[in-house]
Amino acid sequence: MKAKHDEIALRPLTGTSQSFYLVAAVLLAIVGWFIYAYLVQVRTGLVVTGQRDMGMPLAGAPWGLYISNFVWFVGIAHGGIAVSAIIRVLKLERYHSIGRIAEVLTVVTIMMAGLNIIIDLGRPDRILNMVLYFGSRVWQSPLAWDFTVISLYLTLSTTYLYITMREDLAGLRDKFPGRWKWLYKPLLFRYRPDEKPKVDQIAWWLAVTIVPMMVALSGGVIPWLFGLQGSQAGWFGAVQGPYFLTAALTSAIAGVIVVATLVRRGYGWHTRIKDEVFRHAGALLAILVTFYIWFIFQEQLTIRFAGPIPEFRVSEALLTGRFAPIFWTMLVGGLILPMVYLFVQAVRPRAYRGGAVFISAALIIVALWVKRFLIVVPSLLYPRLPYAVGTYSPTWVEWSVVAGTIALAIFLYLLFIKLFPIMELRRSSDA
Amino acid sequence: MPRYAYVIDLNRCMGCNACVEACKIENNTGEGMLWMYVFRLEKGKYPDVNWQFMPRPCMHCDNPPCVKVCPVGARFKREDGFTLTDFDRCIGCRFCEVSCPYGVNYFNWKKPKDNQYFAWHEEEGAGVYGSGSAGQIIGNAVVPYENPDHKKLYGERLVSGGAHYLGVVGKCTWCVHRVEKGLPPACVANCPVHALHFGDLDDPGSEVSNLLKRGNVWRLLEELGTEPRVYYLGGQQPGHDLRLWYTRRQEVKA
Repeated sequence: MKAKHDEIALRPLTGTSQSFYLVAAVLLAIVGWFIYAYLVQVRTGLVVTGQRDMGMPLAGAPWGLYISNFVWFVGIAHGGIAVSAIIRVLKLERYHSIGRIAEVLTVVTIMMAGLNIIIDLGRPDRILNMVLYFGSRVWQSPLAWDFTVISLYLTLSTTYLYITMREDLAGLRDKFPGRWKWLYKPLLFRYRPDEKPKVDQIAWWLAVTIVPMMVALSGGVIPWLFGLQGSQAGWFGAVQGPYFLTAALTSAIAGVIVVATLVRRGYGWHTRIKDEVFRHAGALLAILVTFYIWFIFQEQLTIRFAGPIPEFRVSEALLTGRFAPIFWTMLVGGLILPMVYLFVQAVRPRAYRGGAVFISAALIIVALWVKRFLIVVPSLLYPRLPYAVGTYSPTWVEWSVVAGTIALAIFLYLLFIKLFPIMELRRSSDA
Repeated sequence: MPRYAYVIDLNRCMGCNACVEACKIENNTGEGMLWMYVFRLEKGKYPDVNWQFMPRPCMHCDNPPCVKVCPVGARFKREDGFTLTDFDRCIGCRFCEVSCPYGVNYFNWKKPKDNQYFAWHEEEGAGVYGSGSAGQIIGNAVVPYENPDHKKLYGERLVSGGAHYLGVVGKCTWCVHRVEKGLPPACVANCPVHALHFGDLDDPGSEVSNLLKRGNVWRLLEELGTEPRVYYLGGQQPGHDLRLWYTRRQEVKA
C-alpha cells in the first residue's frame, strides 16, 4: 500500500508533461520581460513609473503599484503557516495533504514581497545601509521593523519547510539513488532515520512561534507603515492593524485554495487531497471575507459620520468619485458574491463544486490586490494641504514588474514541484 | 547652540515667487522640484474674493515624522534645528515623502543632469533655437552654474544642494551652506518685500524673536504634533474657506 501511495505522490518527480514545459517557457518569457523592464528603470530612474511627488508641482503618488504589490504578496505569504499551524498545533491531521503545498507558497511569496521593495528603491545599491544602520534605526523606523519581521518570517518559514521535508528527501534519496544527489545530499546533512520525533518537536515549536509572528507582520509592522502616519488622510488610524491582518489571512486561505486546486488537478491527486479540504477551507474563507467586508464598512461609516474633511474627501473619491467603479466592482464582484457562494457551499454540502470554490478564491485574491492599491494610492492623491488633487497612472514598467514577480513566483513554485516532493510521502491520508 | 526658526509675514507676501526662483537657482534643483513653494489661495465668493499667498519652505519640524521613519538615518535632525538629508546614505524609499504632511519632499525621479532646464548636454531642446541643444548652440561657452558649496560636507555629511544623485530624496535645507557662512537662506535674502525672515530664536535681538512677539502667530497643521519651526504672521490657516485658487465654482461651498 505504501509503495503505491508513494508512486502517486511522486508523479511530478517521475515525469514531466509537455504542457508543463510550455507553461514554464511562457513564465520564463514573462520573467525575462520583467528583467528588461527593471533594467530600463535602473538605467533611466523611477521616472519610467507613473509615480511622482505629491503636492506641487507634480501632484502624483510617490508610492504606487510596487508597494501595493508588496503588501499583497505578504498577505498571501501567511497561507503556509496558517495551514501548518492548524495541522500541527491544533492537530487537525485531515488537512495534512496540503501542508507543504501551502508552505512552499509562503516561502515563494515572501521572497517576491521583498523583491518588490527592492525594485521600488531609488538606490537599491545602497540596500545594505538598512543593515549597517539597523542598530540606530530599529527603535523608530517602521521600515526597519518591517525589515526585521520579514527577515525573521522568511527564515523561520524556510526552516520549517526544510526540516519537515528531510524525511521525505531521505525517502527520495533511497528511491532514486542517482538523481539529484548533488541537491539531496547536502540537504540531508547529518540525517538520521530516527530523527523524526525530534524534528516534530522542533517543528511544533516553530509553528507556535510563527503564528504570533504572522500577527506581528500583518497586524503589526505592515499596517504600521500606514497607520502611524498622521500625514495622510485615510492612512492614519488604529483600525489598520486588524484591517490588514484580516486582509492577509483572507489572502492566505484564498491563495492556498487556488494553488492546492491547481496542484491537485495537475497531478490527479483527487484521492489524496479530498474535497472536504476545500469545503472547509472555503467555509473558513467565507468567514474571513465577511470580517473583511465588515472592516471596509466600519472604516467608511466612521469617516462618513463625523470624519475630518481630508478623510471625507478620500472616502468620497472611493465611494462616489473617481475610484468608485474600481471600488464597487472589487467589493461586490470580488468579495460579496464569492462570500455568498462560499457560505452556501458551507451549509449545503451539495452545492459544493471544486471549480466554483476555486473561482471564488481567485476572485477574492484579485479583489484584495485591487484593495491594496485603493489603500496606498487614493490617500496620496488628496494631500492635507491645498495642493492640486493628484493623479497616478501606472506605466508599462510597473505592470511588467507586477506580471513578472507573479510569473517568477509561479515559476519558482513549479521548480520546487520538480525537485522536491510537494506531496508528503509517508504520512499523507490513505486513499 | 543657536535655535533657528523661520517667520513668514503673510501680510507682506504678494505671491511674486522670487523666493521660489532664488531657491531653484541657489540649489540647482531639477524640473518638478520646488523646494520652496508658494500657495496661491482664495477665499470668499465672487465678487467678494480675496487672495492669500502662503510661502512653504520645509518646516524643519522639531518632532519630524520624516526623521522617525527613515530606515537608514539619512534624514536627521541637527541640534540647531536643521532637519537635513544625507544624500550619500539615502536609499530612495520615499518613506519620508509619504510621512510628511506638508509635502516638502522631492525625489530625483530622473538623473539630475537630465532634469535641468534647457537640457544643456542632451538633444532635448534641440530645434527650439535652431538645431542642436542649448549647450551646443552657445558652444558650451557657459556651463550651468554649479555652486561649489554643495560639494562640501557639513557636519561630515553631504546635505546641501539638490542635484546630487538619481534616486534620492531632497528638500529645502534652509540653505545650510549659506547659514554656515552667516548668510540667510536664498529665499529670505531675495524676498523683495521682506516677508521672509530667518534667524536665531535664542538671540533676543533677532528679527524672528521680535516678530514672534506680535499676535496672530500660527503654524501650519499644528494639530498633527510635528512642532514645525516655520511661523506664520497674519493670514489664516488654509481650510474649507481658504482653498486652492482654481477650485471649481461648483465645489465652492457658500
